[in-house]
Amino acid sequence: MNRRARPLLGTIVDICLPRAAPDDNFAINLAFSRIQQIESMMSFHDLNSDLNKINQSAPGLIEVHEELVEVLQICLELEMRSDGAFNPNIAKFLIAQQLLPQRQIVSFFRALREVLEIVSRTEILLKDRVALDLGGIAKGYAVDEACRLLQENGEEEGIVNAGGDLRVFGPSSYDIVVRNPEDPGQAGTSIKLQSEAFASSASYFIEIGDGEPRKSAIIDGRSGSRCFSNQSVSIKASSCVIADALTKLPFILGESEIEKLLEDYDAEMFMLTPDNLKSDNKTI
Amino acid sequence: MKKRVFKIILPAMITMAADHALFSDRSFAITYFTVEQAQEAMAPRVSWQPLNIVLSDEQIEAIEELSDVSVLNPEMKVWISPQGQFFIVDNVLGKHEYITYAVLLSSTGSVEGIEILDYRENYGEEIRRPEWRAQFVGKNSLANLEFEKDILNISGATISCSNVTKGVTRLLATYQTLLKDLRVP
Repeated sequence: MNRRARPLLGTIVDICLPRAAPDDNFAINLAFSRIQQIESMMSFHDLNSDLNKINQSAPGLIEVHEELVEVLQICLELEMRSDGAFNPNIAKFLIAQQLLPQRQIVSFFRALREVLEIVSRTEILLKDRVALDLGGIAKGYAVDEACRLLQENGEEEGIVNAGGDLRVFGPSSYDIVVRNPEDPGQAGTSIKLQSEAFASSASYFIEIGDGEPRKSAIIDGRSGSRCFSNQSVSIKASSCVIADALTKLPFILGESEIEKLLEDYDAEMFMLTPDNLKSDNKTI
Repeated sequence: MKKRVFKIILPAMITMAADHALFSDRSFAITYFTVEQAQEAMAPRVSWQPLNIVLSDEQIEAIEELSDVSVLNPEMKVWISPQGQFFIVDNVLGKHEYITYAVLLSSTGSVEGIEILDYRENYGEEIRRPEWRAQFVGKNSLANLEFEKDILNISGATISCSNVTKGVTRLLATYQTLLKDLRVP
């Protein structure tokens, strides 16, 4: 086995190739580089990122990397299918909650589809100022890209895990242990994956202001309100970008709306609820 | 219609292989690289010479001033190459995780690579105690094979790499403070 890890995407990214081969390190290096490249493009923190080029632009035609356009395309579809609950144009709420660094934000809160149009593989049309954050989806996209690079470089079997957002490829199936949200050092449950992706979120782990780094907050894309729950939600899907995006939505949407989304994306949802608490979704 | 929503009431029955060492004593550890493996992967065929550096109080003060990060250990594990690159092995302690990692610095002090060597986590109190941490010092990858028999994959609350990032900031300040003036002995 060859297994390596680097600090990336705000977490530890672990790449595991279960059957060691001589060219593994070369392939793993490429996969890590690709993750770093995507991180730079989509970073809200890095003022020079492609994402911030959009955030700082006045309305008009903007040229950006095709990866960013691809992610924005996925965002637009998710927004449509979730009736607006998924909306990346919410950076100003994350800034207000101190979950993103202070920035001058010049934008009104609007649905993404009202203000952004995809014109070509590398061009978007901005119809109004925006404040986008891709924290809810970029990690998943990076994991998918890392798997693609590994496979393109001859790896038949592997696992890429970005702090719990993960994807496995190849013929083998793997047990994924999901942390108990009440006691993260304990296993909560175990799920089998084969050639699939998986992502988890548990909103009440967010800690701010005591020196702990921010974790993604869950914002209702229709209202800008922050959502909490005492549950942990995991999504199994064919791609990590979709698993990552969908794993936030059960905190915002009701069960029938979620079932429709799961059907649309051919995904499954696992909700881990502590035994002594009834499920309790709150919106602030 | 296919069932897509699965509700699991905790604590749940865990159906994993019995020899999963996961979360015994609420801790888990994985070794990715030994120092030698990391040196070879990060800088192939470079010959490294170890430097014996113990930071003085003045140096620690300068590093902390420059980086705004505390120096917890004055003893450094650092190597220099004939071309003047530096290979540094450092540790950081988070709330639940203890991470050993390696940084490769170019001859002008820019970061050329970061790799995790050991990752350990513990949700009990032990992580803060030197004895718990000491059990991992000098461990080679063979001793951790029991954790790697089944490939362990975890999902759930996200680990942050911010402590590693702060560690790298501290090491860059260390380069500015003293490493940049060192030459191959």
